[in-house]
Amino acid sequence: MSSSLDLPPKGGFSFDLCRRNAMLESKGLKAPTFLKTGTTIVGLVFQDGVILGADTRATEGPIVADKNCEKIHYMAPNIYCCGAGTAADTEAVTDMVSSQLQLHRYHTGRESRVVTALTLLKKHLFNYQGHVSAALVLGGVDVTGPHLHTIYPHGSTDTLPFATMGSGSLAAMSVFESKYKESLSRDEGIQLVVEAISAGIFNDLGSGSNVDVCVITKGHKDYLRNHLLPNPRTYVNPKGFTFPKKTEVLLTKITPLKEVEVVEGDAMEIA
Amino acid sequence: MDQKVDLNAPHSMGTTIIGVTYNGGVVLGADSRTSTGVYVANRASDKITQLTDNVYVCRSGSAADSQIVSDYVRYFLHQHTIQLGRPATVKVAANLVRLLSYNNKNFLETGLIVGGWDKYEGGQIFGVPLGGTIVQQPFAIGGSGSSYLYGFFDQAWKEGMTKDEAEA
Repeated sequence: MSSSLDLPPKGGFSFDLCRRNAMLESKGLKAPTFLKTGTTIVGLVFQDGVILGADTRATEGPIVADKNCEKIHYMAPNIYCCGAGTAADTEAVTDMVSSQLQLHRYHTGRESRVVTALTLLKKHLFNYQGHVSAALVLGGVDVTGPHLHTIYPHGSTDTLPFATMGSGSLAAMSVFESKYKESLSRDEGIQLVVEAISAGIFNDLGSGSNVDVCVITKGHKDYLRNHLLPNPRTYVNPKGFTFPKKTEVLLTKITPLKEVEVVEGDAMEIA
Repeated sequence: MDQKVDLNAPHSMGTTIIGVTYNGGVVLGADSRTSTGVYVANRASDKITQLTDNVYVCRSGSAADSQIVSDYVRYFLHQHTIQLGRPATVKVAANLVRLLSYNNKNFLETGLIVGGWDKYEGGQIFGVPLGGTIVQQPFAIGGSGSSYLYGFFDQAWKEGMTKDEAEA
């Protein structure tokens, strides 16, 4: 006797369709691939701190899903993190570690250190053996000085004076390799980051739209959202959208919502 | 099967690492390239990691795996040093590396060379390759680039070198 009752969902992964998927794949159906952000994210260390930069395009395969998304995530007042890879993974992992850092700040009573964020992220990503597809550029300034790290989806980290990640990383790295030098000033640093991101935007299909920059120095940060907009909409119709004649209105009837009456219940019983 | 270029390949270190003993201690050497498939992800990586004041390890293989293993070993060694009350010996460090490598051999892909100096045995080099074997050697080479060095070491290695000879 087959049960016709709908059991409440038990949670967790439902394996019901796995056999069907396997059958379809054996017949030659190509499974849909992962949706990645396709990004250019960069970071560099300058004389007073670190500068992070990112483009703002989020892609779903060949389609641009978000023309102006935020890829520079807040971790702590003095630490920011750029994320490339699957958008959901980068958001989730940075939010989680940001909360853990805040709890840690309450426990210790001190400003968060970049290596703390680094270790938390690294442990999490390694535990998931690369299945959490988040490639991050983590930068910040703490009591020990300015720090810049890259974190790969499998959990390995590198500490570098300048770093690029994402599909546009090759274009951006070429800019950094030719123009980076030690002890850049703030303006030179921002200029270089903007150039690197622009190289990614114009030469990589997965990156585009605007440039976001975040400058972190000791005790101060500047989140320059949409610092550069090199891709404005070129033609905007001054009349706006117009639609042809609508369907005819035959009848209009307005029914107001009923007045909800709040009645005071009995006083709370105190045993 | 033909190889496809995969930019999302796990971050691995095509590497050459060397450890050599001489009369007075050890010399460790490593290149600095980390690659993801064919792209060079980091051209200035530090593959020689400190475990304690007197013991260092050269890492090769998967970057993530070798970093995690050396982090764990550094932590255990630190505890061990506090409990023992004396600096840890190179043999202990190498055995800790070996235990982690061997017991997790199905999950890890990392070859390590542990080298250091302690006052009991002097300079020592231990190779801990992929499966988790531990073998003490007067010199050790590892990593994908080491195949080119077998011949060189065969010819150039001799016992009781000075520091300069060893570094060369």
